Amino acid sequence: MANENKNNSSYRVYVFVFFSVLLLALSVWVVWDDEFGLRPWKKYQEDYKALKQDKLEKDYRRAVVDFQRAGGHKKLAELEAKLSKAEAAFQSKENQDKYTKLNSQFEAAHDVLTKSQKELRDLRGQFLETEYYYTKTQQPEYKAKMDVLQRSIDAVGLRVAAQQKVEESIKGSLSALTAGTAGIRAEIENMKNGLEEKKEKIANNGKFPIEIKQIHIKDIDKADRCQSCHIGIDGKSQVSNKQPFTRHPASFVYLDHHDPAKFGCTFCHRGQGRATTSAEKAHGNVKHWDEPMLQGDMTQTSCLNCHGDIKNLRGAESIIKSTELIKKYGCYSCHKIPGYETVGDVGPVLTQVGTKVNYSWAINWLLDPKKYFATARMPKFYFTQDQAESIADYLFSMSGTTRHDVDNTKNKPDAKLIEEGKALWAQSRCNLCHATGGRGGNNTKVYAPDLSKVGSKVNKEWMFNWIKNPNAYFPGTKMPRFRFTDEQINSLVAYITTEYQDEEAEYKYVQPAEIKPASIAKGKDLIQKYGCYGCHKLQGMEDMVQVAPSLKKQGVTFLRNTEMREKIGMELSSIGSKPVEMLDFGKLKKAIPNDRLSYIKQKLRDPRGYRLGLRMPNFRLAESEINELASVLYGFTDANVPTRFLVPSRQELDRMAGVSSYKFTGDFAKVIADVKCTNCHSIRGIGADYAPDLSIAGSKLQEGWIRNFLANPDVIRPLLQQMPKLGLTSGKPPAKVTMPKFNLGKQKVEDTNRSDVDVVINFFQQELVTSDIPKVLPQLKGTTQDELIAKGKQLYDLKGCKACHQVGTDGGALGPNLTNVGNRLTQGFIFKHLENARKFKPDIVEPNYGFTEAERIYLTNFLMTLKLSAK
Amino acid sequence: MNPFIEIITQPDNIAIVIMVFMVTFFMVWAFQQAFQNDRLLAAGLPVDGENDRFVDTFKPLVRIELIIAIVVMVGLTIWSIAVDAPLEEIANPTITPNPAKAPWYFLGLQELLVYFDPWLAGVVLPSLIVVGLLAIPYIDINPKGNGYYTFSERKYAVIIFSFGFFVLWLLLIVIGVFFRGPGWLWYWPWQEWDHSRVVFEPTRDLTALIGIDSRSLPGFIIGALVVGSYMVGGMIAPYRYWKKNNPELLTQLGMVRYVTIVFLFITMMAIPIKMVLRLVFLIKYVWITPWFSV
Repeated sequence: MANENKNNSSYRVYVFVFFSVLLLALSVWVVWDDEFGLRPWKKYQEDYKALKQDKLEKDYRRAVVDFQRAGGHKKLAELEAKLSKAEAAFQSKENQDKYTKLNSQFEAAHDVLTKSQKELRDLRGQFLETEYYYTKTQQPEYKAKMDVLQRSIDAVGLRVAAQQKVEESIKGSLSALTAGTAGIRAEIENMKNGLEEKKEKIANNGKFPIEIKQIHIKDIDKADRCQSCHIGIDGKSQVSNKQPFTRHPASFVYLDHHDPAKFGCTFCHRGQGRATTSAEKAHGNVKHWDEPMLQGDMTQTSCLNCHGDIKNLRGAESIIKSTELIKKYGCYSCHKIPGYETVGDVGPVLTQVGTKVNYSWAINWLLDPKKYFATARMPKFYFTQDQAESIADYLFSMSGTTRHDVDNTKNKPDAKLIEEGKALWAQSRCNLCHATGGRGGNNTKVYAPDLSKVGSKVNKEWMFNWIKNPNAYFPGTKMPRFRFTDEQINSLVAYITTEYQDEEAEYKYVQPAEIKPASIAKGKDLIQKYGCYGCHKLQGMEDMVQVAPSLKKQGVTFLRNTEMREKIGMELSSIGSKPVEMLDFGKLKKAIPNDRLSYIKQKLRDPRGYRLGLRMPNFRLAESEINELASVLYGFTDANVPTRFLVPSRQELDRMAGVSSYKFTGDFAKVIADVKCTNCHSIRGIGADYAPDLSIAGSKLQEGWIRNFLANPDVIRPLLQQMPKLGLTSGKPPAKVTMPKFNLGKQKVEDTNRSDVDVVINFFQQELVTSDIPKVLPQLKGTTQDELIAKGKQLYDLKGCKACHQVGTDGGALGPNLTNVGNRLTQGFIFKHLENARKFKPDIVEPNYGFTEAERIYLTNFLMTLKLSAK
Repeated sequence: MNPFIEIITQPDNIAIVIMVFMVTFFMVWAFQQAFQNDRLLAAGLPVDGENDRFVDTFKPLVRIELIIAIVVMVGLTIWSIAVDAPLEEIANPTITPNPAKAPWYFLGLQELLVYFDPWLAGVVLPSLIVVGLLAIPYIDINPKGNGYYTFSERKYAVIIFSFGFFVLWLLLIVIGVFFRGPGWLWYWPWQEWDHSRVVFEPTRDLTALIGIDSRSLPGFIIGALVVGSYMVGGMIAPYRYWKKNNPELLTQLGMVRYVTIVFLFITMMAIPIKMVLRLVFLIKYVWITPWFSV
């Protein structure tokens, strides 16, 4: 038995030795792993250091070469020779004696001064102490002592001043003595300076510590360690183009306005800022981390976290473009989205749609809107033909009894009328908003319907009434009321209905003579189920819905307005931060990546694909649109945003301050509601950016020019940017506008005989003015008007204004044509514009020349002479 | 990937996979030795360790312990470097993970929740386990089997332990880890875990089988009778058996030890019985009282 034990133990020794050695090796591995394996940023920082070292050294070598090429070494040698000569001169006995003597004088004077200064300090100290006691006790003895002290202080103060002067003068003589050498030394220093600085940088580069770089944002408790690897991200110059050493792209936009020390990185870029063990983890591309890092344009989605208004935000171009899609497709109609609560309906009013379109068209449209025109915004609901008929039945029954299966192809009007209509069509620039046959529709943001096939869609009678007064059918439409006569409208209708026919489509569905109540009820159910009321007004402005007579008979009453207005879809206000496990991937769980962005994109691609019973219609978006929309939705988060980060929009600020937002009032409000100026122009923050901003038009433009322009708006612009001729000169504001949004309550009794133009000009001059623009120019004494103009002309030529501006036939085309500027702009505006062009138009390209006031007066006077004489 | 491979390779579950193999290995080994020794004992031959009443601590034990400690440290070190801590999603108080699983060593108890009232599964049974384990030194009066493995000399002890530990404890853990998915539904290894899976499995109480509402007084009485007769019958049956076949054992045990052992045993056996009732006969409760249900 003893024997056996022995055998056993020798075998155990080997096991023991083997595992002990293994454990030792493992300990080494543990240390290595902890120091380097889990800290990859150390290597990055070392590499960065090396790269920077290379760059600095290269810089230095280049600077040395430049220095030598410029003959620096020769100059330096000369200067050094000069210096030694001057020093030799300074070393001569005579100078040295002088220097020693002055030096001892200086020391003596300095001694005396120091003593006096100490005396003064002591006296002041005593004075302050006495003053304290006096203030406290109000004893007259202290007062007396203060007076005595004050006198001494004055006396010693005078002495100190005198002694300081003496010291100064000796110092002056001393420096005069060494001036020669000191000057040369400074010059040598100056020549070497750039090189020395660079050398110092190289020396300092090695010194920065290899460590975790962390930014901690206290109020949201975010700790970002991204800079541990991205060490050069906020550097002044690019050290390397390779990741992770690069600088932040466009840092003048992003980092300059968002100091990384205050904002960190993950606030905009997301990702797992605390992770330091691998790039994958830090970028958040790991399981259970719901916020993968945002890259490239996608990052702009984070702008929405803080910026209430991104309309003119620099660096947010991509998200601005994408956000437009929310308005285009009206996502807010079915989903609650913050910031879109007050945006109007995306679809047209359908209360009287039975009087507008033909029954067959309506069914075709319900089945597949894109079949009618490819740019249709209405989504496909996958209705069966039966369902589409029911919905059409419901809509037509709601429109009253009017029936019109009018075949527009019959009864062709005479050619002359059509010809007139065609001319009017062109003159009114209908194509500016409405596309036909793939052309036009440049003002995309009004989303005017494509009219290529409209002749087969709408009823002639309806079209006549529509053009005559669009607001009557659709209060709040973007279609302006042109001041056409009935004859003009007739010709236009004739032209449109004959020119824009749908040759291919079949209009095979016939409206039943009497609509079946069962079908109507079914249609109503479908409308409620799919939420058509989200985009379309299915009832008037009243609280209760109009109930069609045929329905009333059966006792059908419709839902209350408030109930109808409820959003049918899921709230989207925090879709961008919704936990992934709360997203229902349904049957696509295995088919697509289980992350939020993929979910959103797939939902947009195939809204009903996740499971049965989903109701969202298919917008059939292009892949680019899907990406854009997804990037916006990704930005709707309930992220924890510190108040100091927030940049509220103007409306929000107004609301917070209790100020009501700007509203048009009076007759002008009526004109706006009628002519829809804000479709193209922006006035005081309201409106679009298709045409010039009119916020200060009253100060900027001359009355006569406005009058002429409105009468005949043919500016020299590309045809599709020309303002339509709205007929304002002959028209009058409508007596009553069916537009509830405008504050008409405060309206004064106004002269009802004024024409539109008068109303517009009056409003411009009363409201759209700014005190920043003077009415008259400052006077320059001693110069006549002619001299001013002559000097202005000189300046105009001297500064090369004509490189960009055209006068007559001479000059460039980058800037506006100035041929008639003297008739168009006010002198005050020109004067101010020359001072700082960006003041009124921040994104203007005109450089700032830094003109003096006088120069601006010359130029203004000259420009005011540029007038196109009336033909 | 195959769902089963996915589950067993989760960092969380590696420990349980290792446990399955280790427990199986040691169990087989122990029984092998026990049967070998039994054969030696039957042949009247000496068994290694049978007579070594005292063994030195230092040489045989400490050396082995040291080596094993080093081996374990090597294993744990490699494991901890190679496999990161299996973190899950960020805690969110508004989201309950599905399935919500207890730590693996408690999964056996969690599995009991399928069959028992939480008060029984979560409080009474775990307490009895602890009490029973504490009582073992006092109720085990068999002096044999010290220092060597044997089955024939400790039949009852080995069988009851094996059943209680391997089946009721470890097997339930394995089931809890590998076979329970979302909604605590049963998933076979080849089945995909499906969060929207719906299983229609109506359960009823015992008395409902004969048409009596279990919450009514007759239901209560019937339930109490069933449970009571199980407990009383369970107490009496072994007594009568041993009285007839092995009266010596009874006198050795004494009344207190007998009652303790049998109570613990029949309580333990109630667990598989209830499981069968639940799984095969879809019976939810046998006896419902206002305070707890059995």
